[in-house]
Amino acid sequence: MASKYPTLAAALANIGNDYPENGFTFQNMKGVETTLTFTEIEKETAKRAAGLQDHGLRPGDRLGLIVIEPEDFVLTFLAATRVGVVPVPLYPPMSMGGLDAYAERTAKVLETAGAKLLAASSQLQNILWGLVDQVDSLRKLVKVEELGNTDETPVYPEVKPDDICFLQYTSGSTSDPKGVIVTHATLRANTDAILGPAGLDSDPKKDRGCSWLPLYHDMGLIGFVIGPLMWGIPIVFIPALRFLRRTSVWLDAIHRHRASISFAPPFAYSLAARKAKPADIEKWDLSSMKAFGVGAEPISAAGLREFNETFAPCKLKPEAIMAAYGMAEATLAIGLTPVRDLMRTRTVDSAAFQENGNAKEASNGSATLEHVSCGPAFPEHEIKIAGENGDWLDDASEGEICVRGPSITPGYFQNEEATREAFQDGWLRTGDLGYLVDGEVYVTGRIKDLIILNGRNIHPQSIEWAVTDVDGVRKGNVVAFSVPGDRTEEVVVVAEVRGVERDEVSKAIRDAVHSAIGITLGDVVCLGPGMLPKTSSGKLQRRKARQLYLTDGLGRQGSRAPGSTGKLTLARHVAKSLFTRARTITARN
Amino acid sequence: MTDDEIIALLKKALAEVAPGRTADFDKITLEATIDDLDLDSISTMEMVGYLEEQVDALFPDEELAKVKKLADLAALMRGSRVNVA
Repeated sequence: MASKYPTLAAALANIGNDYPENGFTFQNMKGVETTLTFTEIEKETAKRAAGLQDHGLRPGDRLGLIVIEPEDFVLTFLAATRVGVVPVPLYPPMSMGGLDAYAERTAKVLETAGAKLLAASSQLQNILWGLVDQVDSLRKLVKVEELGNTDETPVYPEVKPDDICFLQYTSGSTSDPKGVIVTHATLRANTDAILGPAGLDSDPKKDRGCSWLPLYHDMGLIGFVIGPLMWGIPIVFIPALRFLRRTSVWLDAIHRHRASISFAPPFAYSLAARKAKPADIEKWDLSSMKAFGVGAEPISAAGLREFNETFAPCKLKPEAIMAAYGMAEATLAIGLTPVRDLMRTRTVDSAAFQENGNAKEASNGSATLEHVSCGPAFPEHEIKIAGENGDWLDDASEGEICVRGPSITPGYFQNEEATREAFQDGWLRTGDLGYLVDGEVYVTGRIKDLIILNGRNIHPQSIEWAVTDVDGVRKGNVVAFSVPGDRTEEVVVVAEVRGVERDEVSKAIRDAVHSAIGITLGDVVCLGPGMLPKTSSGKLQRRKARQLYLTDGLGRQGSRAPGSTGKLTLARHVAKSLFTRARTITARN
Repeated sequence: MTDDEIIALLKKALAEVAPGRTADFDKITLEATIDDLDLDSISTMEMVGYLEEQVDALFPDEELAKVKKLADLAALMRGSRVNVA
C-alpha cells in the first residue's frame, strides 16, 4: 500500500473524506486532550493559509515557525504547505538559561533560510522580537494564534511533487547551519517506505500512533504528522516538555488510546523503565503496540532488553521494539527492522573489528561487541558500504554507509558547496560507519571521530561508554580522541567530574578503559562540570576538545563565565538525542 | 511559602532526581544557580516536574526559560513571574 496522494497539499485537502473518523488528538501541558478530525484540520489549515497570504506570503517564501503548543504548530505548518509557503521549523527556548546562545543560533538559521515572516507563540513574542532587526530578510513577527482570524479564503497554487515542502535544519555548527531540502516527492517516498509493508505495514483503520517527540524535527514531524496525514492514520500528541517532566504520560497515553505505533530515542526507553511505578506497570496494557521504534542515537541492545523486561507484565510484545536508522538528508529513515521481527543483533569479535573493520561473528572466549540491525534498505532504495578508497566493500566489512533512492534530498538549500560534498555519483555519503550482512545495515559510528591506534580502529564512543559509568564522572560528559604521541598515536580521555578526588577518578578511568577496550590511555584530563566544549545542540565536540587539548586551552575557554550555561540545557539535550543523526555531513570537512 | 520551606522542598526534589548526592545539596541557598546543582537536563526537568506536583502548579515554559537562580524557581513556586534583571 502507498499513499493515494502525490503531495502533502493534496493529502490535506482530501484525507478527511477517506477517513472521516480519524484525526489528531492533542494533549496540552495539563493533560487535557482535544481531537481534531482530518476534516476539521482541513478547515482550520485553510483559514491559517489565508492568514499567511494576508501577510503577503507567496509560494516559495520561507516562514520561520517557533511554536510551543503542538496544535498551533501542526496547523500552521500544514497551512503553509497548502499554499506553497516553505516552513522552517525551529525549536522554542525550552529550558533554564542560555537565551543568548539560543537567539544567536535562531537568527543564523532564519538568515540562511531567508525567512520573510516569523510566526511564534504569543508568549514568546517578548523573547523573539529582537530577531526582526537582526535578520535582514525578516519583515515581521506575528502571533501564530492570530493567523486564522481572517474571513478571506486562500488561493491554492498548484503544488507539484518536486516543490520544496519545508526545510529541515540539521544541528550542524552554529555559524554555518544547513537547511536540508524536503520535497513533497521525497516525503512521499520516505513515508510510504516507513508506513508500507516493508516497514510498519500500517492500516489507518487499525493503527494509532502516539508521540511525545518534538514536532520541529524530523522524527516527530515527518514520522507523526506528515506520514500519518498522507495515509490517514490517527495520532495522539503529547508535548515533549510534558513527557520530560512526567515520564509516565507517554505509556499511559498508549495504554488509554490502545496505540500501536510510537518512536523515541534510546534515552526515553531507559527513562521510562527507570521511572515506572509498580502501580503503573500493574495497570498498563501495552499489548496493542506493534512498534516501539528506536532511533536517532547509537542503539544499545542492553537498554532495550531492560525496557522489554520492565514492561513484560504489561503484555508488551518483545518484537515491538524496532531499531531504526536515518538522517535528515534521507528525509527521515534509511532502514528499520520490519514490524513483527524481533530485534536482531550480531555479536562480533572485538579485536578483528577494531583492527580491520572485520565484523565476523565472535568465537568462544574472545572479547565481543554487540551491533543492532537497522533492517534492509527500503524498496527502490539501495545501501552500500564504501571503503576508504571509494570501492564498494563486501558483507561484514566496515566502511562509510552510502544510500540512494527516491527519499534522498536533492541537497541543501542555497548551498551548492555543501551539496557537492555530501554526494558522490548520485550516492548520499552519510558520514556514518557501518556494515551490511545479508542486506541489513549495522551502524557502528561516525567517520570523522575514528581513533586509529597502532593500526587498530577504535570508536571513541566505545571508550566513552566505558568511562561514563566510572564513579565521579558526569554521565555522558566524556570525550575520547587521539593525538600524536612520541612514537604512535596516543588516546586521551577528557571527562567532566564531580568532587575533588581527581587522581582517584583518573585512575579509575584508566582501569575502566584498559579492561573494556584493552588499551592504555596516553592521558586523562578531569574537568569541572560544564567545561567540555559542546555545540549549540549540546553535542560534545570531540574535535574542539582535541584542538583545545593540543593548544593547552582545555578548561580555560570560559564556558563558566557568569550568565552563560556550560551545561546541557533541555533544548540541547533533546536536540542532542534527537539530532545526533542529523549530524552534519559537514563534520567531515 | 517561606524561604526555608522552599529550600526544604528543593532538597526533597533533588533527593528524588539525584539520589546519593544529598551531601552536595546540604547547604544550598536560593542564591545558588541552576548550574551549581550540576544536574543534567533530563534530571533538571524531572526536578521541575516534581516541584510542580508539590505546589500543584504548572510553570509556564517562557518563565522557565528565564530561570537562572533557585530564587527564580522559588518565585515560580510562589506563583509569581521571574524577574529578569
